[in-house]
Amino acid sequence: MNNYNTHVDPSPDRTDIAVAVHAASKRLRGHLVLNNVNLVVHRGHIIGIYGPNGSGKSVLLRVISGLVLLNTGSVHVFGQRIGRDIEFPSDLGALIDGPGFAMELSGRKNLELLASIHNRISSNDLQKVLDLVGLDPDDRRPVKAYSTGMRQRLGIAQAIMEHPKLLLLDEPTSALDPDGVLHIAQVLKALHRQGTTIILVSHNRTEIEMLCEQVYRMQSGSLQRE
Amino acid sequence: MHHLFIFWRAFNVQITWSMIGAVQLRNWLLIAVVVHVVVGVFSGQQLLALSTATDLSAQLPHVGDAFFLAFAGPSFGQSNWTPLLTWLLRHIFFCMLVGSISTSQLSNHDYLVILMLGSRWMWWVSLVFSIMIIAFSYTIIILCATLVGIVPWLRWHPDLSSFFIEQGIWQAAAGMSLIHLFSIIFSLTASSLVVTGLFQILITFTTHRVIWGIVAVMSLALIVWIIGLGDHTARWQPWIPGTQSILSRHWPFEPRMPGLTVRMSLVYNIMLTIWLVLIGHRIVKRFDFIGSQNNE
Repeated sequence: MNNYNTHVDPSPDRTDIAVAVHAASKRLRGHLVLNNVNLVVHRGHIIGIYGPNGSGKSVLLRVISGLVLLNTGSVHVFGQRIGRDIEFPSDLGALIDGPGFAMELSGRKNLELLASIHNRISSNDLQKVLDLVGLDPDDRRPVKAYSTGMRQRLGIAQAIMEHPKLLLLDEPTSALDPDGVLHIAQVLKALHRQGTTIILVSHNRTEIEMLCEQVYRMQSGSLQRE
Repeated sequence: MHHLFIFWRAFNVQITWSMIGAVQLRNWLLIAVVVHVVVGVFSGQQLLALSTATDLSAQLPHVGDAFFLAFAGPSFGQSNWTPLLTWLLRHIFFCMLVGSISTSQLSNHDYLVILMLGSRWMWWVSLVFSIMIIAFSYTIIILCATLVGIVPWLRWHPDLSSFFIEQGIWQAAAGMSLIHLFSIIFSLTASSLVVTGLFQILITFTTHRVIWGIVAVMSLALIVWIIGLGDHTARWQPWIPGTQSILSRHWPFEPRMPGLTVRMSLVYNIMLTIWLVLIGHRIVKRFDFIGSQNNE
Protein backbone atom coordinates (compact mmCIF):
# COMPACT_ATOMS: atom_id res chain seq x y z
CA MET A 1 0.00 0.00 0.00
CA ASN A 2 1.51 3.32 -0.98
CA ASN A 3 0.39 6.85 -0.42
CA TYR A 4 -0.76 8.21 -3.75
CA ASN A 5 0.31 11.81 -4.02
CA THR A 6 1.38 12.01 -7.63
CA HIS A 7 1.14 15.52 -8.99
CA VAL A 8 -0.67 15.43 -12.29
CA ASP A 9 -0.87 17.85 -15.12
CA PRO A 10 -4.61 18.37 -15.52
CA SER A 11 -4.28 20.64 -18.54
CA PRO A 12 -6.94 20.29 -21.22
CA ASP A 13 -4.45 18.80 -23.70
CA ARG A 14 -4.19 15.65 -21.56
CA THR A 15 -7.00 14.04 -23.50
CA ASP A 16 -6.28 10.63 -22.00
CA ILE A 17 -7.35 11.80 -18.53
CA ALA A 18 -11.02 11.73 -17.61
CA VAL A 19 -10.78 12.90 -14.00
CA ALA A 20 -7.91 14.62 -12.22
CA VAL A 21 -8.30 15.51 -8.56
CA HIS A 22 -5.35 17.48 -7.22
CA ALA A 23 -4.61 18.22 -3.54
CA ALA A 24 -8.32 18.29 -2.77
CA SER A 25 -9.37 19.21 0.74
CA LYS A 26 -12.86 19.84 2.02
CA ARG A 27 -14.11 20.77 5.46
CA LEU A 28 -17.79 20.27 6.28
CA ARG A 29 -19.18 21.53 9.59
CA GLY A 30 -15.74 21.67 11.12
CA HIS A 31 -14.73 18.18 10.00
CA LEU A 32 -12.03 17.57 7.44
CA VAL A 33 -13.86 15.15 5.15
CA LEU A 34 -11.29 15.22 2.33
CA ASN A 35 -7.64 15.56 3.23
CA ASN A 36 -5.27 16.38 0.37
CA VAL A 37 -6.79 13.85 -2.01
CA ASN A 38 -5.09 13.16 -5.34
CA LEU A 39 -6.61 10.96 -7.98
CA VAL A 40 -6.16 10.43 -11.70
CA VAL A 41 -8.60 8.37 -13.71
CA HIS A 42 -7.81 7.70 -17.33
CA ARG A 43 -10.48 7.66 -19.99
CA GLY A 44 -12.25 4.36 -20.32
CA HIS A 45 -10.93 3.03 -17.03
CA ILE A 46 -12.97 1.64 -14.19
CA ILE A 47 -11.64 2.38 -10.73
CA GLY A 48 -12.99 1.53 -7.31
CA ILE A 49 -12.83 3.23 -3.95
CA TYR A 50 -13.68 1.36 -0.80
CA GLY A 51 -13.68 2.38 2.81
CA PRO A 52 -15.82 2.52 5.93
CA ASN A 53 -18.95 4.65 6.25
CA GLY A 54 -18.12 8.30 6.80
CA SER A 55 -14.65 8.04 5.32
CA GLY A 56 -15.43 10.63 2.62
CA LYS A 57 -16.15 8.40 -0.39
CA SER A 58 -19.51 9.97 -1.23
CA VAL A 59 -18.16 13.49 -0.69
CA LEU A 60 -15.37 12.74 -3.18
CA LEU A 61 -17.96 11.72 -5.78
CA ARG A 62 -19.93 14.88 -5.03
CA VAL A 63 -16.74 16.91 -5.47
CA ILE A 64 -16.03 15.29 -8.84
CA SER A 65 -19.60 15.94 -9.95
CA GLY A 66 -19.42 19.62 -8.90
CA LEU A 67 -22.09 19.31 -6.21
CA VAL A 68 -19.63 20.01 -3.40
CA LEU A 69 -17.00 22.72 -3.85
CA LEU A 70 -13.46 22.33 -2.54
CA ASN A 71 -11.79 24.49 0.09
CA THR A 72 -8.41 23.88 -1.53
CA GLY A 73 -7.24 21.91 -4.54
CA SER A 74 -8.79 21.35 -7.93
CA VAL A 75 -10.90 18.92 -9.92
CA HIS A 76 -10.68 18.61 -13.70
CA VAL A 77 -13.14 16.51 -15.64
CA PHE A 78 -12.27 15.89 -19.28
CA GLY A 79 -9.81 18.77 -19.06
CA GLN A 80 -12.24 21.34 -17.68
CA ARG A 81 -11.81 22.66 -14.17
CA ILE A 82 -14.91 22.38 -11.98
CA GLY A 83 -15.88 25.75 -10.52
CA ARG A 84 -13.81 27.72 -13.03
CA ASP A 85 -14.44 26.42 -16.56
CA ILE A 86 -17.68 24.62 -15.79
CA GLU A 87 -20.03 24.22 -12.83
CA PHE A 88 -20.89 20.58 -13.52
CA PRO A 89 -19.42 18.03 -15.93
CA SER A 90 -21.57 17.96 -19.03
CA ASP A 91 -21.40 14.26 -19.78
CA LEU A 92 -21.93 12.72 -16.40
CA GLY A 93 -24.17 10.02 -14.97
CA ALA A 94 -24.35 9.72 -11.21
CA LEU A 95 -25.88 7.61 -8.50
CA ILE A 96 -24.87 9.13 -5.18
CA ASP A 97 -26.52 8.32 -1.83
CA GLY A 98 -29.52 6.93 -3.70
CA PRO A 99 -31.53 9.34 -5.85
CA GLY A 100 -34.84 10.73 -4.61
CA PHE A 101 -37.39 9.99 -7.24
CA ALA A 102 -40.94 11.31 -7.19
CA MET A 103 -42.57 8.56 -5.14
CA GLU A 104 -46.04 9.07 -6.59
CA LEU A 105 -44.88 8.40 -10.16
CA SER A 106 -43.83 5.14 -11.78
CA GLY A 107 -40.15 4.45 -12.38
CA ARG A 108 -40.57 4.92 -16.09
CA LYS A 109 -42.46 8.20 -15.63
CA ASN A 110 -39.63 9.47 -13.40
CA LEU A 111 -37.06 8.67 -16.06
CA GLU A 112 -39.23 10.19 -18.79
CA LEU A 113 -39.47 13.37 -16.77
CA LEU A 114 -35.71 13.60 -16.27
CA ALA A 115 -34.92 12.57 -19.84
CA SER A 116 -37.19 15.36 -21.09
CA ILE A 117 -34.60 17.93 -19.91
CA HIS A 118 -32.02 17.05 -22.57
CA ASN A 119 -34.43 15.28 -24.89
CA ARG A 120 -31.56 13.10 -26.12
CA ILE A 121 -33.13 9.68 -25.75
CA SER A 122 -36.35 8.15 -26.98
CA SER A 123 -39.03 6.25 -25.13
CA ASN A 124 -37.64 3.11 -26.74
CA ASP A 125 -34.22 3.87 -25.22
CA LEU A 126 -35.83 4.19 -21.80
CA GLN A 127 -37.51 0.84 -22.25
CA LYS A 128 -34.16 -0.72 -23.12
CA VAL A 129 -32.35 0.80 -20.14
CA LEU A 130 -35.06 -0.36 -17.74
CA ASP A 131 -34.80 -3.83 -19.25
CA LEU A 132 -31.04 -3.69 -18.95
CA VAL A 133 -31.09 -3.08 -15.20
CA GLY A 134 -33.74 -5.75 -14.65
CA LEU A 135 -36.85 -3.61 -14.24
CA ASP A 136 -40.13 -4.13 -16.05
CA PRO A 137 -40.64 -1.10 -18.34
CA ASP A 138 -44.40 -1.66 -18.24
CA ASP A 139 -44.57 -1.64 -14.44
CA ARG A 140 -47.03 1.16 -13.66
CA ARG A 141 -46.69 0.98 -9.88
CA PRO A 142 -45.47 4.16 -8.18
CA VAL A 143 -41.88 4.18 -6.97
CA LYS A 144 -43.12 4.16 -3.37
CA ALA A 145 -44.31 0.59 -4.01
CA TYR A 146 -40.83 -0.46 -5.17
CA SER A 147 -38.47 -2.44 -2.97
CA THR A 148 -35.15 -0.84 -2.00
CA GLY A 149 -33.39 -3.01 -4.58
CA MET A 150 -35.79 -1.92 -7.33
CA ARG A 151 -35.20 1.74 -6.43
CA GLN A 152 -31.48 1.11 -6.64
CA ARG A 153 -31.85 -0.44 -10.09
CA LEU A 154 -33.92 2.57 -11.12
CA GLY A 155 -31.13 4.84 -9.84
CA ILE A 156 -28.63 2.96 -12.00
CA ALA A 157 -30.98 3.23 -14.97
CA GLN A 158 -31.21 7.00 -14.43
CA ALA A 159 -27.43 7.29 -14.21
CA ILE A 160 -26.73 5.39 -17.42
CA MET A 161 -29.77 6.28 -19.53
CA GLU A 162 -28.09 9.09 -21.51
CA HIS A 163 -24.92 7.06 -22.16
CA PRO A 164 -22.60 9.36 -20.17
CA LYS A 165 -18.85 9.33 -20.74
CA LEU A 166 -18.26 9.43 -16.98
CA LEU A 167 -20.24 7.37 -14.50
CA LEU A 168 -20.07 7.92 -10.74
CA LEU A 169 -21.69 5.15 -8.72
CA ASP A 170 -21.99 5.18 -4.95
CA GLU A 171 -22.85 1.76 -3.47
CA PRO A 172 -24.86 0.79 -6.57
CA THR A 173 -25.50 -2.77 -5.42
CA SER A 174 -25.83 -2.39 -1.63
CA ALA A 175 -29.52 -3.34 -1.64
CA LEU A 176 -29.35 -6.08 -4.28
CA ASP A 177 -29.38 -9.86 -3.80
CA PRO A 178 -26.33 -11.86 -5.05
CA ASP A 179 -27.95 -12.44 -8.46
CA GLY A 180 -28.72 -8.75 -8.72
CA VAL A 181 -25.12 -7.85 -7.85
CA LEU A 182 -23.84 -10.16 -10.62
CA HIS A 183 -26.34 -8.75 -13.08
CA ILE A 184 -25.35 -5.13 -12.40
CA ALA A 185 -21.66 -6.12 -12.50
CA GLN A 186 -22.24 -7.44 -16.03
CA VAL A 187 -23.95 -4.20 -17.00
CA LEU A 188 -21.01 -2.16 -15.69
CA LYS A 189 -18.50 -4.38 -17.48
CA ALA A 190 -20.41 -3.89 -20.72
CA LEU A 191 -20.39 -0.11 -20.24
CA HIS A 192 -16.65 -0.27 -19.52
CA ARG A 193 -16.08 -2.18 -22.76
CA GLN A 194 -17.98 0.55 -24.59
CA GLY A 195 -15.49 3.12 -23.25
CA THR A 196 -17.35 4.62 -20.31
CA THR A 197 -15.11 5.85 -17.50
CA ILE A 198 -16.49 4.53 -14.22
CA ILE A 199 -15.71 5.46 -10.62
CA LEU A 200 -17.28 2.96 -8.28
CA VAL A 201 -17.56 3.49 -4.54
CA SER A 202 -18.44 0.79 -2.08
CA HIS A 203 -17.71 -0.35 1.44
CA ASN A 204 -17.43 -3.86 -0.02
CA ARG A 205 -13.83 -4.49 -1.07
CA THR A 206 -14.62 -7.79 -2.82
CA GLU A 207 -17.12 -6.13 -5.11
CA ILE A 208 -14.61 -3.40 -5.96
CA GLU A 209 -11.82 -5.89 -6.68
CA MET A 210 -14.13 -7.98 -8.86
CA LEU A 211 -14.86 -5.07 -11.18
CA CYS A 212 -12.10 -2.51 -11.04
CA GLU A 213 -8.71 -2.07 -12.67
CA GLN A 214 -7.42 0.16 -9.90
CA VAL A 215 -8.45 0.00 -6.27
CA TYR A 216 -8.20 2.82 -3.75
CA ARG A 217 -8.87 2.86 -0.06
CA MET A 218 -10.47 5.83 1.63
CA GLN A 219 -9.84 6.33 5.32
CA SER A 220 -10.68 9.47 7.32
CA GLY A 221 -10.70 11.63 4.22
CA SER A 222 -7.39 10.35 2.83
CA LEU A 223 -7.15 8.32 -0.36
CA GLN A 224 -4.53 5.62 -0.81
CA ARG A 225 -3.90 3.40 -3.80
CA GLU A 226 -3.58 -0.32 -3.19
CA MET B 1 -31.45 29.06 -27.65
CA HIS B 2 -30.45 25.49 -26.84
CA HIS B 3 -29.81 26.48 -23.20
CA LEU B 4 -33.16 28.23 -23.09
CA PHE B 5 -34.91 25.03 -24.17
CA ILE B 6 -33.00 23.02 -21.56
CA PHE B 7 -33.89 25.59 -18.91
CA TRP B 8 -37.54 25.47 -19.91
CA ARG B 9 -37.64 21.67 -19.72
CA ALA B 10 -35.76 21.60 -16.41
CA PHE B 11 -38.12 24.26 -15.11
CA ASN B 12 -41.04 22.00 -16.04
CA VAL B 13 -39.43 19.10 -14.17
CA GLN B 14 -38.85 21.32 -11.12
CA ILE B 15 -42.44 22.52 -11.17
CA THR B 16 -43.76 19.00 -11.63
CA TRP B 17 -41.64 17.77 -8.73
CA SER B 18 -42.68 20.68 -6.53
CA MET B 19 -46.32 20.06 -7.36
CA ILE B 20 -45.94 16.36 -6.61
CA GLY B 21 -44.35 17.39 -3.31
CA ALA B 22 -47.31 19.66 -2.63
CA VAL B 23 -49.75 16.87 -3.52
CA GLN B 24 -47.94 14.62 -1.07
CA LEU B 25 -48.80 17.28 1.49
CA ARG B 26 -52.44 17.19 0.44
CA ASN B 27 -53.52 16.75 4.05
CA TRP B 28 -51.98 20.14 4.89
CA LEU B 29 -53.61 21.69 1.84
CA LEU B 30 -56.94 20.12 2.79
CA ILE B 31 -56.64 21.49 6.33
CA ALA B 32 -55.77 24.93 4.88
CA VAL B 33 -58.88 24.80 2.68
CA VAL B 34 -61.12 23.66 5.56
CA VAL B 35 -59.71 26.34 7.89
CA HIS B 36 -60.36 29.07 5.31
CA VAL B 37 -63.90 27.83 4.64
CA VAL B 38 -64.48 27.98 8.42
CA VAL B 39 -62.95 31.48 8.51
CA GLY B 40 -65.36 32.47 5.73
CA VAL B 41 -68.33 31.03 7.62
CA PHE B 42 -67.19 32.74 10.83
CA SER B 43 -66.72 36.11 9.11
CA GLY B 44 -70.09 35.90 7.37
CA GLN B 45 -71.92 34.94 10.55
CA GLN B 46 -70.09 37.57 12.61
CA LEU B 47 -71.11 40.38 10.27
CA LEU B 48 -74.67 39.06 10.05
CA ALA B 49 -74.92 38.93 13.85
CA LEU B 50 -73.41 42.42 14.21
CA SER B 51 -75.75 43.98 11.69
CA THR B 52 -78.75 42.35 13.36
CA ALA B 53 -77.63 43.32 16.88
CA THR B 54 -76.88 46.94 16.07
CA ASP B 55 -79.98 47.28 13.91
CA LEU B 56 -78.03 49.19 11.28
CA SER B 57 -79.66 47.17 8.61
CA ALA B 58 -80.34 50.03 6.28
CA GLN B 59 -77.89 48.13 4.14
CA LEU B 60 -77.02 44.57 5.08
CA PRO B 61 -73.37 43.63 4.73
CA HIS B 62 -72.33 42.03 1.48
CA VAL B 63 -70.04 39.12 0.68
CA GLY B 64 -67.20 41.59 0.12
CA ASP B 65 -67.48 42.96 3.67
CA ALA B 66 -66.94 39.54 5.21
CA PHE B 67 -64.16 38.90 2.72
CA PHE B 68 -62.48 42.09 3.91
CA LEU B 69 -62.94 41.01 7.54
CA ALA B 70 -61.49 37.55 6.84
CA PHE B 71 -58.30 38.95 5.31
CA ALA B 72 -57.92 42.15 7.37
CA GLY B 73 -55.34 40.50 9.62
CA PRO B 74 -54.32 41.63 13.12
CA SER B 75 -54.61 45.41 13.15
CA PHE B 76 -52.64 47.63 15.53
CA GLY B 77 -53.57 47.37 19.19
CA GLN B 78 -56.02 44.56 18.49
CA SER B 79 -56.20 41.85 21.14
CA ASN B 80 -58.70 39.70 19.24
CA TRP B 81 -57.20 36.28 18.57
CA THR B 82 -59.29 35.36 15.53
CA PRO B 83 -57.63 37.63 12.94
CA LEU B 84 -54.23 36.78 14.36
CA LEU B 85 -54.77 33.03 14.21
CA THR B 86 -56.23 33.23 10.70
CA TRP B 87 -53.26 35.25 9.48
CA LEU B 88 -50.75 33.06 11.33
CA LEU B 89 -52.27 29.77 10.12
CA ARG B 90 -52.14 31.06 6.55
CA HIS B 91 -48.38 31.44 6.98
CA ILE B 92 -47.93 28.10 8.76
CA PHE B 93 -49.64 26.15 5.97
CA PHE B 94 -47.52 27.87 3.34
CA CYS B 95 -44.43 27.31 5.45
CA MET B 96 -45.13 23.58 5.39
CA LEU B 97 -45.41 23.63 1.58
CA VAL B 98 -42.12 25.49 1.19
CA GLY B 99 -40.56 23.22 3.81
CA SER B 100 -41.61 20.25 1.69
CA ILE B 101 -39.97 21.80 -1.39
CA SER B 102 -36.80 22.49 0.61
CA THR B 103 -36.70 18.91 1.83
CA SER B 104 -37.27 17.47 -1.61
CA GLN B 105 -34.71 19.74 -3.26
CA LEU B 106 -32.02 19.32 -0.63
CA SER B 107 -32.52 15.75 0.47
CA ASN B 108 -34.25 13.78 -2.19
CA HIS B 109 -33.87 15.25 -5.64
CA ASP B 110 -30.76 17.25 -4.79
CA TYR B 111 -28.52 16.27 -7.65
CA LEU B 112 -30.86 14.80 -10.23
CA VAL B 113 -32.05 17.99 -11.86
CA ILE B 114 -29.09 20.28 -11.21
CA LEU B 115 -26.60 17.89 -12.83
CA MET B 116 -28.78 17.66 -15.92
CA LEU B 117 -29.32 21.41 -15.94
CA GLY B 118 -25.60 22.11 -15.54
CA SER B 119 -26.06 25.53 -13.97
CA ARG B 120 -26.54 26.57 -10.37
CA TRP B 121 -28.08 29.92 -11.41
CA MET B 122 -30.65 28.27 -13.68
CA TRP B 123 -31.46 25.75 -10.97
CA TRP B 124 -32.02 28.57 -8.48
CA VAL B 125 -34.19 30.56 -10.90
CA SER B 126 -36.34 27.53 -11.61
CA LEU B 127 -36.74 27.02 -7.87
CA VAL B 128 -37.75 30.68 -7.43
CA PHE B 129 -40.39 30.27 -10.15
CA SER B 130 -41.65 27.11 -8.43
CA ILE B 131 -42.10 29.02 -5.17
CA MET B 132 -43.89 31.84 -6.99
CA ILE B 133 -46.29 29.47 -8.72
CA ILE B 134 -47.01 27.66 -5.47
CA ALA B 135 -47.53 30.98 -3.62
CA PHE B 136 -49.94 32.24 -6.30
CA SER B 137 -51.83 28.93 -6.48
CA TYR B 138 -52.04 28.65 -2.69
CA THR B 139 -53.36 32.23 -2.41
CA ILE B 140 -56.06 31.64 -5.02
CA ILE B 141 -57.08 28.40 -3.29
CA ILE B 142 -57.45 30.04 0.14
CA LEU B 143 -59.24 33.09 -1.28
CA CYS B 144 -61.75 30.86 -3.05
CA ALA B 145 -62.16 28.64 0.03
CA THR B 146 -62.95 31.72 2.14
CA LEU B 147 -65.49 32.93 -0.41
CA VAL B 148 -67.16 29.50 -0.36
CA GLY B 149 -67.56 29.86 3.41
CA ILE B 150 -69.03 33.38 3.17
CA VAL B 151 -71.45 33.03 0.27
CA PRO B 152 -74.20 31.06 2.10
CA TRP B 153 -74.54 33.77 4.75
CA LEU B 154 -74.40 37.09 2.96
CA ARG B 155 -75.82 38.67 -0.14
CA TRP B 156 -73.67 38.57 -3.26
CA HIS B 157 -72.96 42.06 -4.55
CA PRO B 158 -70.17 43.39 -6.78
CA ASP B 159 -69.39 46.17 -4.25
CA LEU B 160 -68.82 46.35 -0.51
CA SER B 161 -71.71 47.81 1.50
CA SER B 162 -71.71 50.85 3.77
CA PHE B 163 -71.50 48.53 6.78
CA PHE B 164 -67.99 49.55 7.84
CA ILE B 165 -68.92 53.26 7.64
CA GLU B 166 -71.91 52.64 9.88
CA GLN B 167 -69.64 50.73 12.28
CA GLY B 168 -67.07 53.53 12.26
CA ILE B 169 -64.23 51.23 11.18
CA TRP B 170 -62.28 50.77 7.96
CA GLN B 171 -64.34 53.48 6.35
CA ALA B 172 -62.07 53.54 3.36
CA ALA B 173 -63.33 50.09 2.44
CA ALA B 174 -66.82 51.40 1.74
CA GLY B 175 -67.65 51.52 -1.91
CA MET B 176 -64.79 49.26 -2.98
CA SER B 177 -65.66 46.69 -5.57
CA LEU B 178 -65.26 43.03 -4.71
CA ILE B 179 -62.90 42.57 -7.68
CA HIS B 180 -60.74 45.45 -6.48
CA LEU B 181 -60.63 44.03 -2.95
CA PHE B 182 -59.90 40.53 -4.29
CA SER B 183 -57.01 41.82 -6.39
CA ILE B 184 -55.57 43.86 -3.47
CA ILE B 185 -55.72 40.90 -1.09
CA PHE B 186 -54.37 38.51 -3.72
CA SER B 187 -51.42 40.73 -4.62
CA LEU B 188 -50.53 41.56 -0.99
CA THR B 189 -50.85 37.95 0.22
CA ALA B 190 -49.16 36.27 -2.75
CA SER B 191 -46.25 38.73 -2.91
CA SER B 192 -45.71 38.48 0.86
CA LEU B 193 -45.78 34.68 0.67
CA VAL B 194 -43.18 34.74 -2.11
CA VAL B 195 -40.94 36.88 0.11
CA THR B 196 -41.38 34.66 3.17
CA GLY B 197 -41.00 31.51 1.04
CA LEU B 198 -37.70 32.71 -0.42
CA PHE B 199 -36.52 33.84 3.00
CA GLN B 200 -37.41 30.40 4.42
CA ILE B 201 -35.65 28.46 1.68
CA LEU B 202 -32.52 30.62 1.97
CA ILE B 203 -32.34 30.06 5.73
CA THR B 204 -32.77 26.34 5.02
CA PHE B 205 -29.95 26.43 2.45
CA THR B 206 -27.68 28.35 4.77
CA THR B 207 -28.23 26.09 7.77
CA HIS B 208 -28.80 22.82 5.85
CA ARG B 209 -31.78 22.32 8.17
CA VAL B 210 -35.40 22.58 6.97
CA ILE B 211 -36.61 23.23 10.52
CA TRP B 212 -34.56 26.45 10.85
CA GLY B 213 -36.25 27.90 7.77
CA ILE B 214 -39.66 27.24 9.31
CA VAL B 215 -38.57 28.61 12.71
CA ALA B 216 -37.18 31.80 11.09
CA VAL B 217 -40.39 32.55 9.18
CA MET B 218 -42.61 31.80 12.17
CA SER B 219 -40.43 34.00 14.38
CA LEU B 220 -40.73 36.83 11.88
CA ALA B 221 -44.52 36.46 11.83
CA LEU B 222 -44.64 36.52 15.64
CA ILE B 223 -42.45 39.65 15.76
CA VAL B 224 -44.79 41.37 13.28
CA TRP B 225 -47.75 40.48 15.46
CA ILE B 226 -46.16 41.33 18.83
CA ILE B 227 -44.93 44.77 17.80
CA GLY B 228 -48.44 45.54 16.60
CA LEU B 229 -50.00 44.76 19.98
CA GLY B 230 -49.45 48.23 21.41
CA ASP B 231 -51.15 51.37 20.15
CA HIS B 232 -47.83 52.99 19.42
CA THR B 233 -46.84 52.78 15.77
CA ALA B 234 -43.23 53.34 14.83
CA ARG B 235 -41.91 54.47 11.47
CA TRP B 236 -39.94 51.27 10.98
CA GLN B 237 -42.85 48.90 11.47
CA PRO B 238 -43.98 48.81 7.82
CA TRP B 239 -40.52 47.65 6.81
CA ILE B 240 -40.62 44.37 8.66
CA PRO B 241 -41.24 41.62 6.07
CA GLY B 242 -44.65 40.05 6.65
CA THR B 243 -46.37 43.30 7.65
CA GLN B 244 -47.22 43.78 3.98
CA SER B 245 -49.69 40.89 4.11
CA ILE B 246 -51.79 42.59 6.82
CA LEU B 247 -54.44 44.61 4.99
CA SER B 248 -55.75 46.41 8.08
CA ARG B 249 -52.34 47.98 8.77
CA HIS B 250 -52.35 49.73 5.41
CA TRP B 251 -53.36 53.29 4.78
CA PRO B 252 -56.17 54.40 4.48
CA PHE B 253 -57.59 51.54 6.60
CA GLU B 254 -55.00 52.41 9.26
CA PRO B 255 -54.78 56.24 9.36
CA ARG B 256 -51.66 56.09 11.59
CA MET B 257 -49.69 54.47 8.77
CA PRO B 258 -49.73 57.06 6.00
CA GLY B 259 -46.55 55.59 4.49
CA LEU B 260 -47.83 52.04 4.18
CA THR B 261 -50.01 52.03 1.10
CA VAL B 262 -50.91 48.92 -0.87
CA ARG B 263 -48.80 50.16 -3.77
CA MET B 264 -45.81 50.75 -1.48
CA SER B 265 -46.17 47.25 -0.04
CA LEU B 266 -46.20 45.71 -3.49
CA VAL B 267 -43.14 47.67 -4.58
CA TYR B 268 -41.41 46.74 -1.32
CA ASN B 269 -42.26 43.04 -1.78
CA ILE B 270 -40.98 43.11 -5.37
CA MET B 271 -37.74 44.79 -4.21
CA LEU B 272 -37.36 42.23 -1.42
CA THR B 273 -37.97 39.40 -3.89
CA ILE B 274 -35.28 40.71 -6.25
CA TRP B 275 -32.89 41.17 -3.34
CA LEU B 276 -33.57 37.64 -2.01
CA VAL B 277 -33.12 36.16 -5.50
CA LEU B 278 -29.73 37.86 -5.78
CA ILE B 279 -28.72 36.82 -2.24
CA GLY B 280 -29.90 33.31 -3.11
CA HIS B 281 -27.74 33.34 -6.22
CA ARG B 282 -24.69 34.12 -4.09
CA ILE B 283 -25.59 31.36 -1.61
CA VAL B 284 -26.36 28.75 -4.27
CA LYS B 285 -23.15 29.61 -6.13
CA ARG B 286 -21.12 28.38 -3.15
CA PHE B 287 -23.67 25.88 -1.85
CA ASP B 288 -22.61 22.32 -1.11
CA PHE B 289 -25.18 19.75 -2.12
CA ILE B 290 -24.33 17.21 0.53
CA GLY B 291 -27.40 15.03 0.28
CA SER B 292 -30.00 13.57 2.58
CA GLN B 293 -27.58 12.33 5.22
CA ASN B 294 -26.72 15.89 6.10
CA ASN B 295 -29.98 17.72 5.57
CA GLU B 296 -32.41 16.35 8.11
